[in-house]
Amino acid sequence: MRYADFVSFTFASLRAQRLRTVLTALGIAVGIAAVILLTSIGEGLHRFVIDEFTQFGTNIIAVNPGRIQTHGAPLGAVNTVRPLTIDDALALRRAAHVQAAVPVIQGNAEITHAGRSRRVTLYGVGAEFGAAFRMRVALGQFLPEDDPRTPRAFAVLGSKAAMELFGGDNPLGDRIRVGGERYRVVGVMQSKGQVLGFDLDDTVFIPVGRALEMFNRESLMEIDVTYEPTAPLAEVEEGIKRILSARHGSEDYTVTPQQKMLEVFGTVLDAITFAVAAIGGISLVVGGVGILTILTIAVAERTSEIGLLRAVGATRRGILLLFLGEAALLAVLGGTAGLLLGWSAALALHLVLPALPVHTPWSYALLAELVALAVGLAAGVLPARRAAHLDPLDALRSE
Amino acid sequence: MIRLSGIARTFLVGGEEVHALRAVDLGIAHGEYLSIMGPSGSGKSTLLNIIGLLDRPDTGTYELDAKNVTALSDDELARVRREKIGFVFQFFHLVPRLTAAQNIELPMVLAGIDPAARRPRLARLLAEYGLEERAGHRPDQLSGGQCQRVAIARAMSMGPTVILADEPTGNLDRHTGQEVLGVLERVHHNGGTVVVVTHDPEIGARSQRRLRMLDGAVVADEKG
Repeated sequence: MRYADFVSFTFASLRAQRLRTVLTALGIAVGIAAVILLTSIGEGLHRFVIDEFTQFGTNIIAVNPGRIQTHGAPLGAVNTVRPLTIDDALALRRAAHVQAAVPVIQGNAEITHAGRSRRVTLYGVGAEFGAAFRMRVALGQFLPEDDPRTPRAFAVLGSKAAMELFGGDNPLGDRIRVGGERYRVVGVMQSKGQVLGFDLDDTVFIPVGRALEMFNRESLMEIDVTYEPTAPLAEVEEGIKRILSARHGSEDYTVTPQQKMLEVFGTVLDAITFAVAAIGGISLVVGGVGILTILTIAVAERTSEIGLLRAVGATRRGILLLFLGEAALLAVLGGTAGLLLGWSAALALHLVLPALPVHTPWSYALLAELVALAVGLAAGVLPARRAAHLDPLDALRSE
Repeated sequence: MIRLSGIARTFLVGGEEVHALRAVDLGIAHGEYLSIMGPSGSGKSTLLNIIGLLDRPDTGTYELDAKNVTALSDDELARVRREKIGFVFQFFHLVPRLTAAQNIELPMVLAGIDPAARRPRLARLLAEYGLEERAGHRPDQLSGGQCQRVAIARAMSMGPTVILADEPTGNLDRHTGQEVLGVLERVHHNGGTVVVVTHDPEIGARSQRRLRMLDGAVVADEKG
């Protein structure tokens, strides 16, 4: 049988039972649409989370004091954790490929101005903080490059903190109190919005040396190291460790490259996308059962036709292929409809709920189509085999 | 052309052996018009099915066009049926969703013949069986006589060695039956070999050679 004839014969069979065809294909369409819609949401979530993290840049390595380890080992072996100091941060600037090493300490503090006061998140940071984390200044400038050990009492306000404290007035040059000490406002940051629930606008930035004194702490919370984006991560990590271990005498700190964190997030989020795709896949299987049912009925109804086809020269294989072809065509029709359905649903969702991140991953869409085809073929195998194994004489007599 | 020797066929019905055919010997020459008559259960349909390669004998050999077809595989049988046998059934057996023309074309389509080669053959068949105006109609829009003419045209489409008709008029009124018989006789006049199974003596009487069967055996073989 020629390919074109095969296709048109199969089409004619499906056209003869239009309602049945549409309903059966609908089963597959719903399955495909579910897969596409769910993976679109999953993938949207994926991108959303990754974007949240990468908006500060991806070439950042965090160095934190202390090390995760098992305690209670041999007595006498005293584990001491030396604090991470501003000098450590200064030393790290000399490591290979490093662009900036920003000391960071974070806490809460009350800021007051002209009788108004507000509790905000306080960041004690180095002057390079803004550049390292791609945070821009709306007014004035970021903290100046003072000697980090004796910095001047300058403060930079987050956009929300500035608005709450000063209303619409320009705060540049005004004095505020931060945790009881007097600071001069030199800048206001651009709004950054919330990142994973943290409001980055309700903040005040002061020099890290002053913040350490204010909180009466010895150690920084973190040193954030940025490096040349093209530099090999392992080499950068190695350079950091060499310098810090030399200064501390042991590796009593933890180095966490953001890229590794992103990889972990990526793995988790991929698993979520896969899981929702699998949930959609269940409805695809249900659609496959629909094809199985309809084809079983069709074989029973068309037994005498199968007998005739055998009598006029169709082989068993030919009959098998005809019914498999019908199953595959049903699946492909349903799959195409499902693709359009799922995609437009994802688009509609995006229009109705712009806050919900939606992104259609086309690799999944293609995969879903292939799965639909496979489900159709798998569902077609049993009835098609039954049809092929009918005895031509019995089939002819079935009327 | 057709040579059956020692053909026997036994069915198991309810645990009991029924001898549908007992050692039948039969030769059919090219261009013959043969009728097989006998009461129901005499084995005439079984004989026709064996000649048509839809059924296999338990013993005996069957030669078609000087080739032993007794032991062919299922696929080879399908190919021989396609190329050498044309079936005409009592209940027409047309595919309901296909038009008259598509039904006639079906064996050629299954054989994988090029559409360009099919078209002139189809046109000739439609003209020959007076179906040109009905070519686009589906079976439910055709009369019984027209349906059977479509079936005969379909049987002829591959230029078969033999036309096998099982009660071709059994589902038609007398007048239409005569007309369909006339069509089959025209196939014979044009040099075709026609075998008709019937229980109607009047129809049997019209053929040159008349086989009478009883209890799975040929009891009479008259010519002229």
